[in-house]
Order: sequence, then structure tokens, then C-alpha cells
Amino acid sequence: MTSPQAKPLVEISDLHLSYTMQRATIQASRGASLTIAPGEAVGLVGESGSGKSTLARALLGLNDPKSTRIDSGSIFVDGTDVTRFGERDWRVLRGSSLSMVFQDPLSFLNPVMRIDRQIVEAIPKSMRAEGVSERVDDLLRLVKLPQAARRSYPHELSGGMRQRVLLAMALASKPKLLVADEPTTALDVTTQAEIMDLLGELRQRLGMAMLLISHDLGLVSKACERIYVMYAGRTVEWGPGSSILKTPAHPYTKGLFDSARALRLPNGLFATIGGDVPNLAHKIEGCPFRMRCPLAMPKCTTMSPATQVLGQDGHWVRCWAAQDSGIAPAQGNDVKNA
Amino acid sequence: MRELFQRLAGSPAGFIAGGFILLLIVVTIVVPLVHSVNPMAISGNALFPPSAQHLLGTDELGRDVLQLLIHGVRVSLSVGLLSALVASVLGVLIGAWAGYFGGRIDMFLMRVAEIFQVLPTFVLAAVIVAMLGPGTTRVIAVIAILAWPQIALVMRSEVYRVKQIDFVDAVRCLGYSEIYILIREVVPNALRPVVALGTLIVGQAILIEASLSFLGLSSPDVISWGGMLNSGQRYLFNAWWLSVLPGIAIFLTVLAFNFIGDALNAALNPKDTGR
Amino acid sequence: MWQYFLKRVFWSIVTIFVIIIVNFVLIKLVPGDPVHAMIGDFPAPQDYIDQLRRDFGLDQPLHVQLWLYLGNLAQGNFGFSFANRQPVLDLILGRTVNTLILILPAIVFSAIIGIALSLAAASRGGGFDITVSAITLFGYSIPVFWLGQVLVLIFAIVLGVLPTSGMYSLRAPQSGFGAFLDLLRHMVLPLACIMAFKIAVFSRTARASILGVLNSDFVMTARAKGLSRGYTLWRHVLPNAVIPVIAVFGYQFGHALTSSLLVETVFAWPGVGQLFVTAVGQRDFPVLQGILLLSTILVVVANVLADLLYTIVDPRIRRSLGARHA
Repeated sequence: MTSPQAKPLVEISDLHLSYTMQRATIQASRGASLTIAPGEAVGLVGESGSGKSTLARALLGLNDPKSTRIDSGSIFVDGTDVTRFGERDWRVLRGSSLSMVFQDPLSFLNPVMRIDRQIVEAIPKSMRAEGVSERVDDLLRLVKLPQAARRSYPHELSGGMRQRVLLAMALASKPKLLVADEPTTALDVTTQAEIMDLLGELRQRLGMAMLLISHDLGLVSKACERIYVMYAGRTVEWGPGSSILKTPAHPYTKGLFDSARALRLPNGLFATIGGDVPNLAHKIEGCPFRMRCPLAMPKCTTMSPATQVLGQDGHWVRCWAAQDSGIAPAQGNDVKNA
Repeated sequence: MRELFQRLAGSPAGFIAGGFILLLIVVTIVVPLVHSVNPMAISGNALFPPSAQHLLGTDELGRDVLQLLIHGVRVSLSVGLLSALVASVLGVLIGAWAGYFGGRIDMFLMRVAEIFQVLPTFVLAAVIVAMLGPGTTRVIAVIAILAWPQIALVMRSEVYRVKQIDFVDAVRCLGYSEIYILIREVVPNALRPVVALGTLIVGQAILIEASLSFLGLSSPDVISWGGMLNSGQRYLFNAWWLSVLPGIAIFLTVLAFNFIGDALNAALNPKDTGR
Repeated sequence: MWQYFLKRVFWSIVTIFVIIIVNFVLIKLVPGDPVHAMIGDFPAPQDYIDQLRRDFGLDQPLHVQLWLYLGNLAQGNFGFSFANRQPVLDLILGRTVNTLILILPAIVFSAIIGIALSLAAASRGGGFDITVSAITLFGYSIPVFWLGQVLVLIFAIVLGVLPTSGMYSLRAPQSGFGAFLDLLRHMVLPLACIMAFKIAVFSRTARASILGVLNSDFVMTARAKGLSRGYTLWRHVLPNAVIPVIAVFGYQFGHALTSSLLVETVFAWPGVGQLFVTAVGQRDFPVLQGILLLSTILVVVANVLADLLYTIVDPRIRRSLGARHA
């Protein structure tokens, strides 16, 4: 229906993924679906432990191949199914189409290697013809880092500068998609704004798509055209940023908004979502959010909510309450967003 | 803890190592009771190679090597087990105190441990035994004194970790004294890594005892594997069994303790066993 | 950072002082006349005994005696070995070079082999990892002197390819490459014994530190850049993993010294170890105490050097020492 006009750059459909940690099996993705069109900015929102980082890493094949398994579903990148990719195939893809920046820029940089060397490594062989040093200059200019930073070690730079270094490395291969996993969480507010501005500017200039992952709905809604909300390993609501902002349909999304706006309740307390994210090591029957949901009903305990569309602009939700309260017209159950 | 040992006994190698140690212990206790042959008994055949009559040959005085080996278990095991035990008790007490109460004792412990880590401990042990004279008790004391800081350091950090866990605060709210909490609640929960390290120290101690005896630092009237190696080295070229066999006995015994110690360690921190 | 370094130097001096006190106390604890402990089991001339009593103030209060003892050590008077008819200090220093010839290559080669093994285990995983664990376990369990005897039996007696003992052959050239080759042939077996344990220690340390580094975030960054596993191990994991291994170099030095002590006697290698074992047999106490003190000093110095090396290798510390770079 509202499928993106062009062929999607990334298409994740009903992904189920699990990994083992200390003999426990964690089902980190339990039906996650997501599409990104070329050049599009997409946000992925959820609390920590909702499986959003694992999903992002699965998109780049960065989860430890020995302990992680894709149980079902598929990931298409640029029309190619990457679910069965080996490490060698991934390496080619990461060196060209896909790049990623991470949350804590200090620990994600090698502490005993100079900045320029780390950036040079990220430049693909095919782009080294026109001179590696010049390319490093370009990249530093692109992320607005002074040339003096070249010979520094990571610990000598500020948090914002380190994040720019990570960004420069990510841009070195001229990727079609930049995945930014909580890129500003470790930074102070001013630096946060600078990095977000830079991200937006670079995206425009380079025409690349971006997947921005954050727990901060406000931040994401400013920077992204479409937003996915993730809970307990599955995408529970998605659609255009404006539509989700105006009419959030899933009770979880509403809860996120209320806590993001620091909404003061009549009793004087700040609104928060009560309870904890469910343990992803356990099997969950029905809707995973029902334990914390103000609108939970008997049906939610037994049946997993179907996916349904809200309106014509590609706004989707997975919630029984959203349907029964009459917000949404009933729809077929097996619809996927594509 | 019990579950840990069960898992250990479940693996074939762990079973063999544990069984071997049990066998040694039984030999130490039982053989002197039922066996009337004097291992020091001298037969006419000196330096006799392994044969049907003397399964592992005889030494330069015509004593049966198998008999000597069986009687040598006693020294190796008692030195290994007792010095590890003494070191562990010392280390647990001092480490627990330092980790729980901190302060001066803690500072002192850290400094002492630092010094012990740098010292050439074996040379020190050898000089002490050489000057004060050999003797099993003395050797046990020296090894224990040199080994306790390892235990104390581990105990200290474990106790420090455990005391931060909420349940300790909960117990404190019940009004028990600090000493009571330390002994009844914190120490039992911090002992597991100590058991693993203690097992490794048994192996170290057996090696140190054997090395000291090899240097000639054991009393000549006590049969020990290291002592056998010491007297055997003169006959290395014409009676290989005098050197090779006691060495194998030492090696296997230390290997068994080290194996179990490693396995206990691995079971305790599944993270650093790697993938 | 300098403060940390000075602190380490201070504690090194304390360590040496502790050993001096231990020596002093041991002299007092030896049953019988302390003069006997300062001479050893050897008939000494009455003149020398009287001189010792005077020099060390043996009839004076304990603290005066300790003061005199320290004063004598400070002047390099470590006592006299009647068994060897030589001052203890000269005797030990004369042998030190031969021991260092064994220890230093043993440490360097073991470090390289140990780190290489762990790196291979990390890159292959599976079977290789088990092999490394087995090597470590065996290295920690073998009595080194016994390993020496077995190696002599195999390589020198049965196969006859290597010399059984000593440092030089009588018929070998006295200088030049031939002499060096001859020394190497004599070194192989004792070196192998010392290294058997050292490799175990190094691969255990290196394995722990490599596993730690492999779990760090910047390895994920390297993967995200599309770098190969081999390159990542070599350029990112190795440099970070080697740093903590270097930090324990001084400590390794002490271990190697102990192994050398036990191995030299098996191979009749004319180093400090052989001197030590002979002194044990002769109850030559001044030599034993001298070796204890000097080996402590050696180990302590090695530790301080390892600290220095550490600060040079790790840019985080190096830069804070320089403190000029922004």
C-alpha cells in the first residue's frame, strides 16, 4: 500500500534471532520487520533491552557468528538475501554499502592506534588510488575535525571529537546506509545537538540512508522521516514520524512519549512506564507488553496481536486494544509492511 | 560447591584425575597398615633394571623402587595438602578481614602481597631450609608462609565483592554483629575461588618440595620422590629408572591437582574459558 | 604517573630491605654460634673469625649489629666463601653472565612462542584452544630438573646428537662463529627446560589478555570497517594484548631464575644455579645468602625496567608522562 516508491535498500521481514550467553538462550528478535528506502532516514526506538541493537548488528552481520542464530525471517540488503552470509561476504558488504557508528566512542576506538591510521583502515582498497592522505583530509573536513587530530590517540580527544572520528571512519567507504546506534547517548547535551546536526547535514550532502537507533523518541522524531517502535524483540508500531507523533496508537508508544515529554500527571509525579522490559530468555505468550499495559484485556494473554494498518500514510500497529477501541479499521492478519 | 564437584566427576579427565588422587590418599593411609615389608630393606641386587622380581628395578642400595615410590607418596601428599591448607587458612582469615574492614590491614596486605609477588620465592625457601636444616614440618611452614598472599588477595577481592551484594545489608538490618555477618554470611559465599586456587597451590607445593629434595634439602632417612631423584642423578647414565620413574610420579600427581584446579576455575568463571 | 613510578621504586627498595632483614634473622636463627652461619661448614682461620666478630659487632646489641651488617653490605662486603677461596660478591658476579645467557633468551623466545600460540588459538578456536590449554597444564606440572634429565637421556644418550653437559667442548674453536655454534649446541637442552615452564606462563597470561581484548568494543569497530579477522588480530588485538604481558616481564624474570637454578645443575652449566646447588651441599651459607640477595635485586630491577617498558609501549601512559600533547 504505502510501500516506498523505489526498491527498498534494506528489508527485514519477521526476523527471529537468538543468541546464547552463559548457557541461556536469549531470543533477541521475535518478529522484527523494517524497511529502509535509499536515502531515507529511519528511526528505531525502544528501551534498553528491547533488542534494537541486536537488530542493528544483525543488519551488518556484526553479532558473534558462533553464538548467534537466525531462526526465521529474512534480511535483504540491496536486493540480496544476507541471512546465509558468511564472514567473507559480510566483510565486502560492510566495506562498501553499510557502515555503523556506535554509542561509546572511546571504547569503540583502538586505544593504542593513532586516529589517522584507524581512519585509513576504513578506506576501501578501491578508493585508495587517489591518495590515502588526501582522502583522510577530506574525511576530517567532512566531519569538521581539525587536521591536528590526525596524529592523536583516542584518549586525547573529547567525546564529541571521538564520535566524529567514528563517523569519519564510517563515511570512508561512501556507504549507502549509515547505522547509528545511540550515537549521542554518551555525550553532553550541547555536543549531542552538534553531532545530530552534523548527521543530518551529512545525510543530505552524501544522499545516504540512515538508521538511527535511540531510546529517545524526541531525538528520533526530529531527525527521521519514519519511525519504528520496538518492544521485546518485535516492532510494535511504525509509520511516518509526524503521524506517530500526532496519533500514537500503541500504548507503549504513548508511554514512551509521556516519559519523553516528562509529562506531569495530576498526582504530581512524572509519567513513566511501570514495570520492566520482559526477560528475553523466556518464552512469552500473547502480547509481551500486556504486563505493563493499561489497556490489557484477556485476549492479550493468549494471542499475539495481529499487524494492522491505521489510515493511508503507512502507519501500522500491532495491538489488540488499538483495534478494539475502534481507532483502527480491522485488517488482515498476515499483512507485512512492504 | 557440591554441584561443581559433580560436574567435575562427570567429565572423563576429571574423573581420572580425581580417582588418581583418591588412590594416592588410600595408598598413603593403607599401605603402612597392611604392608610389613620394610621399604628400606636392602636386597643383594643393587641397580637392578626392572624385572619380574623387582617390577621397577632396584636402586644403588638394592632397595625396590616400587616400594620406595609407594612410600614416597606420603611426603609429597602431606607436604602438598598440609601446606596448601595452612596457606589457605591464613590467606582466608587475613584476606577476609582486609576485604571486609578495609583500612590499614588492607593497605598492609596489598603491600605484602606486592613484595611477595616480586620475591624469588623458591630461592628464599631453599636458603631458609638450607640454613635451618631440613624437616617436613619446616618445609610445610616455609611453603605456607610464601603461598598465603595469593589466597589472601583472591579472598580479599571476593569478600569485597560479596559484601556489596544486597543480602548483606539485609542481614545487617537484623542487628547481627559485623564479625558474625563476616563469618556466617560473607566468607562462605566467597570461598569458591579459594578452593580452586588452593587446589593449584597443592600442585605448586608438591613441586617445591620435590625441587628442594632434589637439591639435597631433605632428611636422608625420609623417603621422598624428590630425594630419590637427588640420589638417582648420579646413576642417570646407567640406571635411567632411578630418575625417570620418580619424576613421572611427581608429574602425574601435580598434573592431577592442576587439572582439577583449572577445571574448578573454569567452572567458576565461564567467561574466561573463551569460546 | 611519575608518582606511581616513584612508588614502585620505593617498594622495590623495601623489598630488597626485607630480604636483607631475612638474611640477618636467619644468621641469628641458625643453631649455634652466629659466626658459624657467617662462614659456613668450613674450617676458617681464627684471625678471620675474630675479625668477623669485630666487623659485625657480634658482642653488641642487636640494632648495632644490624647497622653494621647493612654497612658491610653497602660496601659490597657479602662475606667470604672458604669453599671457593673467593669473596662471595666476586664469585656470584662471575657466574651471573652465564645464567643471564640462559635466562634472557629463554624469556624472549618463550614470550614470542607463548603469545603466538595464544594468538593462533584465538584465531582458530576449537582444537587449537584445547592444545594450548594442554601445553599450559603440562608446563605447570612438569618438574623442570626432571625434564632436563629426560632430555639428556633422549638427546644426548640415546640419539647422541647434543652434548650432555657444560658450556663449551674442549675441541671446539675458542672464538668466532665456531665457538658460538658450540655454545648454542650446549644451550639447546637447558634452554628448552626453562622455556617449557615459561611458555606455559606466557601463553596463559597472553590467552587471558587476548580473550579480554577480543571482547572489547573496538574489535567490533574493526569488523564494522570490513577488516579481515587476521588483520584485526594482528593490528588491533595483538598490540593491546601484549601490553599487560609486558607488565609482568619482571615477574617472569624471577620465575626463570628459579628454573635456571634447578636446571643448571642437571647440565653442569657453570652459572649461579650450579654455584647455589654446590653451596647447598657444602653448607656454604654466605654464598647462599649472597645469591638470595643478588637475585632479589636482579628481579626487582627487572620489575622496574618492565614498568618503564610498559610506559613506553602504552601511549595512554606515555603521553601523560610527556604531558605536552593536547
